[in-house]
Amino acid sequence: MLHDLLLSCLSQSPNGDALKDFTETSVIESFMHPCEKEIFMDILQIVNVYNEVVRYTQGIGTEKDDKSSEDTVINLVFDEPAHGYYLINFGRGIENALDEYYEEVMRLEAYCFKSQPASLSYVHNSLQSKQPTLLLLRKFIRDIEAAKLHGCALLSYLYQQSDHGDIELEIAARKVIRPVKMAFFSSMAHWMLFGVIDDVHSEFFIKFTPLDNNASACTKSSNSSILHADKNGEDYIWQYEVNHNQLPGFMSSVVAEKILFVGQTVLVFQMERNFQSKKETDQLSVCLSELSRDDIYQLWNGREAEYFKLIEDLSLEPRINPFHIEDAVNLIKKYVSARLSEIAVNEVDLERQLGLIKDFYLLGRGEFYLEFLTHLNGAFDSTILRTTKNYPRSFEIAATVMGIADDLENFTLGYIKSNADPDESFDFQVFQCLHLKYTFQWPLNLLFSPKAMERYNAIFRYLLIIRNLQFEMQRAWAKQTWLAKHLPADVHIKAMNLRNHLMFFLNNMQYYIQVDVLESQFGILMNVIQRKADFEEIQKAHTVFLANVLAQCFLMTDSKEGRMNITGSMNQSQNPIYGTILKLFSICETFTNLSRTSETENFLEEVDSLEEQFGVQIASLVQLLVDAKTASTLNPLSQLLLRLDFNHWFSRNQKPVVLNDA
Amino acid sequence: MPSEIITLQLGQCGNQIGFEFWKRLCLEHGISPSGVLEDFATDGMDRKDVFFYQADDDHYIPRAVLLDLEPRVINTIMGSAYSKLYNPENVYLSKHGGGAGNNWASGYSQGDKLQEEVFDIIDREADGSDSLEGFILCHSIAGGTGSGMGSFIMERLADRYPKKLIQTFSVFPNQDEISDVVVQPYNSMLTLRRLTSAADSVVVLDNTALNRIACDRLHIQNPSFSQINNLVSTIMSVSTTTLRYPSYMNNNLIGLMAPLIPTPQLHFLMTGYTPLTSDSDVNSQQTVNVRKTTVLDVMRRLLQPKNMMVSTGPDKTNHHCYISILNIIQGEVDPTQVHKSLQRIRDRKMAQFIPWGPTSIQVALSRSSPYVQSNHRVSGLMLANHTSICSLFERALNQYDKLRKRGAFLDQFRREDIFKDDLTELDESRETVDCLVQEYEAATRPEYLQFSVKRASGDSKTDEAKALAGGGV
Repeated sequence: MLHDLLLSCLSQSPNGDALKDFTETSVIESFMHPCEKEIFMDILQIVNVYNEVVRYTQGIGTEKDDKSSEDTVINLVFDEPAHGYYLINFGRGIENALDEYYEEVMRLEAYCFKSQPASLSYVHNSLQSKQPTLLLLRKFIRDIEAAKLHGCALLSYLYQQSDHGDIELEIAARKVIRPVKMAFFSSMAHWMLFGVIDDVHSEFFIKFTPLDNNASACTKSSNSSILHADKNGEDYIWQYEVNHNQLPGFMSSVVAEKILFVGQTVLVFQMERNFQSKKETDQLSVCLSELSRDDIYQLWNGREAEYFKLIEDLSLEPRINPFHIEDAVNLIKKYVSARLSEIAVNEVDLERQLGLIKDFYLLGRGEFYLEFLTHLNGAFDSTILRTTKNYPRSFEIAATVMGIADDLENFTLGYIKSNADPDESFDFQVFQCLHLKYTFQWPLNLLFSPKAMERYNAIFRYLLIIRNLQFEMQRAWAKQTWLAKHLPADVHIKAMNLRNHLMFFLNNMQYYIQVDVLESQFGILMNVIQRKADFEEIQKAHTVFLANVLAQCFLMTDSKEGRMNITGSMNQSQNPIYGTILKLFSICETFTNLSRTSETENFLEEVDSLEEQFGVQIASLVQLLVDAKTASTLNPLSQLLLRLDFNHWFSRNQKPVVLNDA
Repeated sequence: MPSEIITLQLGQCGNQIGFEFWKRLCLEHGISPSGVLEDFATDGMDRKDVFFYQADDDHYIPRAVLLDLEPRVINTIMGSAYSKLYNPENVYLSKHGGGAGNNWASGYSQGDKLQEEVFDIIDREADGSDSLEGFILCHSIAGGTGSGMGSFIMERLADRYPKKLIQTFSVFPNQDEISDVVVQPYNSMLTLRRLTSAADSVVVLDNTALNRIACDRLHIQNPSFSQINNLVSTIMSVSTTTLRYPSYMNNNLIGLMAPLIPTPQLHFLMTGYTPLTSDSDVNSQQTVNVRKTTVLDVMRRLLQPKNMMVSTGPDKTNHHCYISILNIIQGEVDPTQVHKSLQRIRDRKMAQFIPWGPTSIQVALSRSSPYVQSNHRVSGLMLANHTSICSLFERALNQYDKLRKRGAFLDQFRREDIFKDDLTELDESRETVDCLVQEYEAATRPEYLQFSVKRASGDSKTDEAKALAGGGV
């Protein structure tokens, strides 16, 4: 009887048949002394728990087998997060934890063989000592099943549970956690050292989300349509993200970002190889690049073993120590980013690259854009208005004329196709569709992410619109000056006055953006680079730079809703200042169109109406700026306000202006 | 290359300041006196092509036309180290070489006679540029050639190139010393009329102020021509830096002028420069450490009348004001300082502005030449449109009236074609200038726009002007 019982203690039959035999038949009544019945039932209970645990581990095991053998269709149907590498390891861990229990049963069996008078209570006693462990294991299993935990979340759960007051239970928990931990650190090592994620069940806290799958559905970045326009193979590093659902609790998101960064850097280094072999077509260079295959060596400089050891040590530690992880990650990150900034600053001349960015995205080379606009709009004295405008072509011609084609070889201007066909008669809308593409040099991929480039483009379009309006306004000035010289009777003082106001607004907008915003922010960024900061700091400074510039240009909306619209009807962007500025732009554009053909009969009336509109809009802009200034001590707003209202004209003379219009 | 500018230098003074200007440009762009690009300047970022054109790979030739009726100054230039710099075909000397005898009328009629030859040069030069933007004219308003021939050429340019801008650097005579040109008031008046009607923008270089600055600020007892011209060339070169170096704004002449000149008539600009150092200063103190001037220092000093290159006399009623200001700041500038300086200037009310429109101090940060060492960390030039400039014209009117009342020295004018029948030309010029003074006075008042409406709407512009002239005297 005892043997039967001990045998059933080890039984791993999935349905618990062995136990059923005890309970369903009258075997207990017939073989047990009634006073032992209670003890027997207790033992059975313990065995029950064991059985449950074992069934679970076996379930994982069989499912794994199923997976390999069965159809993929079924796999898809039952594709719950119930399996995965971490769960398998979890099962393994549980089995390890069960070892002690097995040993105990073995010992009992041997004991029974040796000595005849073995009592049921002796068995009960020794089995009961293993009960807490079994209960803990069952708790793990139940919790995990209930919460459907898998992947790093599972590890995180186990980590939380592993601090147990009972030494024995703690040891058991550690046994469970060890294989899972191993799995975790090995995928971390793979990612950090080789940029590889082999993660079919999305268990790791860094995940790869391919954009192609849901081209229509917007992904997190709202400008996916733009991303698609110029998608190239190099953008894929940006599809790796930290998956916060799987981020283990013992790891802060800062550390996670660092780990992500390291892996991306490794990917960038691998990218170089692909890039080169793609580019070079002739046989010899392909062979050469074949030879220099291991570009990761360039990054690690033979130190990858050292860092691998570091991570391995982490996984061998009996407990997970967040501080040790952080230290190791910091160490690796520091090395990688120092290495990267070394390359970026010395080999690619980061300062020059950023200088080029400033020159062309931020319109630092005003004379080049002047030439571009001149070419676009035709010379001032030619009477024929150019009807068809070819922006990319003009861009290239301007580059050639200015003799800076070399600097511009990495820049190409193109359109993005927007939903509505741009109305060619309004420059404003065409400019909205322009997109300046910059082919950056490896390894600056980490700096110029698609999102960053889209932000640069937003600023670029904004500045180009101002510049174009200014250009047209200057032509209006030239025309008025010319009229005053030759046909003084045709000069309309009202038009002249309005032109002064509009030009003043545009100039000060431009001065504000260029000097107060761009120059100062760019100076801060350059300081960071010149300080020989490591690459992550540069990256951070660069992000801050872009964010500040966008905010201070009032562009701090996602480009989706930030699409400027000439009609002004689509002004639901959150920033009211921006909306007002857009309205002012459209007044400027209407005026320049008007003054180009001042022969119309109701010229003066239109000027009057524009002047009135301008009065209203500028007043509301000033009011908004004043309000915003008093509401918060936000510096940039007061800077623009100071420039616009330097002689208190707009704040003081508001009423007379309105009266004049009336 | 876009936005080319052709420089015309006329007469003794015009050629002298022009010569200094080109010397300075050569220095700043690393071009040797013979027009060869220096080795150290081959990879410069500057835009040499605005003022120079390239003859071959490393020869640069100024887009300059040198005109004079007497050979003295031009011969000096052609005898200097820079003789090979200019295109010899662009140097025009009248054949008789007798000059204009400090007589506006003589210069004017000689301009008429020589116009074909002169415009052959100018047309050729204009054809040689891709998209000519305008002309810069250097001359003085008091002499004969620069004023008379300059006036004629300005009128022709405005007709012939109606859509090109004409900017002048016009030297006004020194009021503190007795001029050897007795008819200077006549000459000035006649030239001022053309500057008002034909030029788009006039940078006034007042010899009175220049001499005063040389004495007071640079501590030179008897400033020589070359010292004065050095000041002038500084102003000319700095005021064109935004055209000659890549920058985000004011990249062409129109971009420079349009924000400064709100209405076509108010186009007389004054300049200020700080900090000033003379040549001798630089030479004697080679080891002088770079002075730590700040943006605020520079911008504040630029607003002080003593740094202005125009002597406007005391403004007793204190009603004159700035119509517009453009500061071109060079050197190591912390951009955040610009805003602080603007704030300070506004808070302390350091500058008074027109009451009839929005205006502010525009600050252009410009690069400076890497080849010219400056011993100041920050330096600045102010281009300002200020109503008090009319005091200069009032002074000219007074002097003219004195002379005209006596009918003095009119004979030599009557000898020329333009005054053969009568002297209405002189009277009309006076009216134009008087009208200009009225307009500047009006610009100090809030009702200026109504004044302009009256002026522009009236078909009988001259009647209006007469009425105003009558009231003004």
